[in-house]
Amino acid sequence: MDSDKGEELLMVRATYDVPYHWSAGQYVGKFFEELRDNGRIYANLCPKCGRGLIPPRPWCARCNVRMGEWVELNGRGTVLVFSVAQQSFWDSGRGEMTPVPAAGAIIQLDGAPVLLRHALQETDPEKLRMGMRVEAVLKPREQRIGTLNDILHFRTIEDEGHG
Amino acid sequence: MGRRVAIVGIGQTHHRGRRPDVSVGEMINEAVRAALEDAQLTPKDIDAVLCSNMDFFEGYYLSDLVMADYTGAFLKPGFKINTGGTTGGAAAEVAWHHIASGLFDTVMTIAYQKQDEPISSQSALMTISDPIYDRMTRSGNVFAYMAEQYMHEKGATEEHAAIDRVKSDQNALRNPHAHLKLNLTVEEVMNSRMLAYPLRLLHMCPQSCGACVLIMASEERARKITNNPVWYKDQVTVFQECWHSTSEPLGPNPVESTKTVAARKLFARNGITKPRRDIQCLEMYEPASWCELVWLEDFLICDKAEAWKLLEKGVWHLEGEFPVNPSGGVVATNPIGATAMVRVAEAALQVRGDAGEHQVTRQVRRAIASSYGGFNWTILHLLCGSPDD
Amino acid sequence: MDKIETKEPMIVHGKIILPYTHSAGRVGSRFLRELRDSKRILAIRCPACNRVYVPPRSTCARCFGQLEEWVELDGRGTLITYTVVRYSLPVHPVKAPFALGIIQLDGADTGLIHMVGEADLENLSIGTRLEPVFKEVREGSILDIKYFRPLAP
Ligand SMILES: [Zn+2]
Ligand SMILES: [Zn+2]
Repeated sequence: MDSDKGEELLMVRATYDVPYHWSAGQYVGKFFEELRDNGRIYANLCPKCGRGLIPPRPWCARCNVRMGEWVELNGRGTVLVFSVAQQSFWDSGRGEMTPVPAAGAIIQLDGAPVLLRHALQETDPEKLRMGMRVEAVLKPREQRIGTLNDILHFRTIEDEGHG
Repeated sequence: MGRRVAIVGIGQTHHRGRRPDVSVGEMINEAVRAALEDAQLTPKDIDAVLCSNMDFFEGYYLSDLVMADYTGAFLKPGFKINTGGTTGGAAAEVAWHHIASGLFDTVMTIAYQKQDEPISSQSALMTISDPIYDRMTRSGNVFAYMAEQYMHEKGATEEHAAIDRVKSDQNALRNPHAHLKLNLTVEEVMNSRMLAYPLRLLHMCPQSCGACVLIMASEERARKITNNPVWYKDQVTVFQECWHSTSEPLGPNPVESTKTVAARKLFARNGITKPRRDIQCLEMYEPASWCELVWLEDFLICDKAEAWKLLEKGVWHLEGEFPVNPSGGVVATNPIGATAMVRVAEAALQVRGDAGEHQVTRQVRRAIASSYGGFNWTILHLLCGSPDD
Repeated sequence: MDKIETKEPMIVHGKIILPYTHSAGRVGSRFLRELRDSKRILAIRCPACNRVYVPPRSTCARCFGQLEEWVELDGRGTLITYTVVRYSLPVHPVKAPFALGIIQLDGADTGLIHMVGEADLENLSIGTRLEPVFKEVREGSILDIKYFRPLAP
């Protein structure tokens, strides 16, 4: 049943290439607009459990209450955990192979109790560690279009001076 | 709780990496025929047919279009279930609902995936996530994060993931339906190619093609069909939020693992106080070897930071005190949309005593099976040899 | 932040681009090989239902029988119904206008959906007798049949 007995088995090849226009909505839209136009990163806070959300959204899914105050973040944060991808694959969102090595991290941002998953500039695992300090690097204004990728990546803060 | 429900028929394909010899429907048909044969039934005996897979792997969204042509569902009721990685477990769950409710007596439920059709599984899989945020940033591998955290906080080493992988491989070697049978050594696992630090190629599940089918029936029907029904006693499904970076088990707002929530609920309402005594084995959906260790703790099977220590003592092995993934698990066999149902099927084989070469040493009265998917969503299924258990 | 209001609705423009290789399977491969290599249209018969399927399949949808009785058709058939497509989309096999029909091949019990060519699109009619026209360069695809055309009267 399983051997192909030397028969030629045919494949039908097809590529589906479908454009989409995803609506970000008012809250995420505002977040993207501030990021694109003013280079500002915002989170909003749940008045009940106190956690932050980034991008901001209208409701806290845990407490089922309306989210409250918007706070501007300084783009700095602490790496909680990281990984470095060495295996490339076809990125079906961009129509290209993913670049490798590529470092990603879960970053706890300063200024609100909030996490962000994003890319790290540093891709050498030897130079990455839990607890390291990083800061957001934005693309130049003319390249920003209103997505999370307007943040190019997070780079290592070598020396966090005061003042 | 509704009517009692039993599994009366179990069928699987021989899972493998490529199946150019069959179309999607023909592959499913192999498992359908195996399940009907196992139950000694024909399509005439089936009241409804359910079908599940994950979107984008085969490249058509109306995946239920294979049903009437290849499953015997012609002119019968049925529908598609699609819940991501848990989908095969959800398909078992919905069959249970159909019968427990009293609306149907005998239901066939199907899960499948043909992973040799997309350019790569990862390319199809990335369409699960939110296109506006998560998909944009391609930000890292969730299992790599988990492995790093487990070593850092719980004291496990890379060697433990390797020992666990070898344990699973030894089980897979005894399972005729398993995909990867590699006869691995710990060194080979530890030296395998790095995918995303600290996750290596041999820690990860493969891309398999395969289908799994369960035939489930009401108590009255089940007793007419077989002398050896496996009772689908109970199950708990737990979802959690998926908003960008809100489902992490770390940071300032950590969520309790959906696995822990599911286990606590399932154990409490079934009088399970010492899981390793009251349950005799577990078929876990572990997409990577690391998950098996971390999630044994999350499922309350052992204490925190204890899974790797009990691994060293052989507790999780086929002949151990509490065998985990006697089938070889997902690291050996991963027809992704069918993977969760394969867990239920393999747990049922253990309860029935029909697992052959990979039957565990201890007597199995109760087994649990887990489904994993979405953003750490969980389904936990409890199967028993007696309906009163 | 005073007002949670964007200047204009924020739309994220994206794509899903996924290449596939769909397995025809053993039965489908034989059908497609015959189209490609011999310009022959094969069907498969269910002895229990006495139904002939084209394209052929391995299982009878009605009686669940496993099918292996291959039947060669001469390719001629009758137009059961049709439509004329007058708009173009990237997924269409050819540019509009073109006719699509359900064609009942002689000796088959299932309709085959394909294009109707070399025909007056304003004056197609149900019941028209048709024959297949094959492409010069064939690759093992249902589109190795270029279209069906009306039989000369
Ligand atoms: Zn809240
Ligand atoms: Zn038939």
